[in-house]
Amino acid sequence: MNKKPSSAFLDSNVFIYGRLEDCNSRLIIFLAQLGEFQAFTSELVVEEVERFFRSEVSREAGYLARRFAESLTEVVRRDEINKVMRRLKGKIKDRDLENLAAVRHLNLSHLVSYDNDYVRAKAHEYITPRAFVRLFELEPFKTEY
Amino acid sequence: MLVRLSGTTAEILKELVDQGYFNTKSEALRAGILKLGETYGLLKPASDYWRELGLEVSKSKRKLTHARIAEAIKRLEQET
Repeated sequence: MNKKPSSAFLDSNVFIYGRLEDCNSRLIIFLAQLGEFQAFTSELVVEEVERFFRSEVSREAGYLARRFAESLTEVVRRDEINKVMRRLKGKIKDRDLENLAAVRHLNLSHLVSYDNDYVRAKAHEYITPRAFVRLFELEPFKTEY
Repeated sequence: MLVRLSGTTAEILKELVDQGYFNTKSEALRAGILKLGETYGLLKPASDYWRELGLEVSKSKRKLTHARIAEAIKRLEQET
């Protein structure tokens, strides 16, 4: 039997797909809102989520998306993970560096994302939204995200 | 910002970390400040922002198809 995780890191695509489509990312957002697990994210993710909604929807949507991500999760600050980021630099793509450093800093077992770059980076914490939903013994949507 | 604590506040902070509610004291302090913000109406719960964001998206004239979302996410990642 799968063990339900008590915490996880959420990448930007989880917030974006979660708000815009009926999908596994949405189920994950609901699980976090219900307190089924403690959600963490990075400053980079908060910035990306804000930027996405600002450019694709409106300035107000960008602001609301930022506040949503900040109030749902514990945001890992860059100054807390400088050391880990330096250690990982060169081993993975710059874009994934901050998120993976946050995951390693907090010793989290799950980095929830729909991004194959983490597979190439051999990030063993990487899990797709679909697989993560399954850990809660819920019936997932067919899509990976 | 340097914060000096002693007595009850320091003890509670230590317990919050020792009992595993938070990984660090800084993390516990940040969560406490957010809770105060919520109490005094400076910060709304996540569910309010979620709902308001949904309304803002539905007001938008731009149709966000899956292909468009995926493309925008890809662009976002390249910009980072």
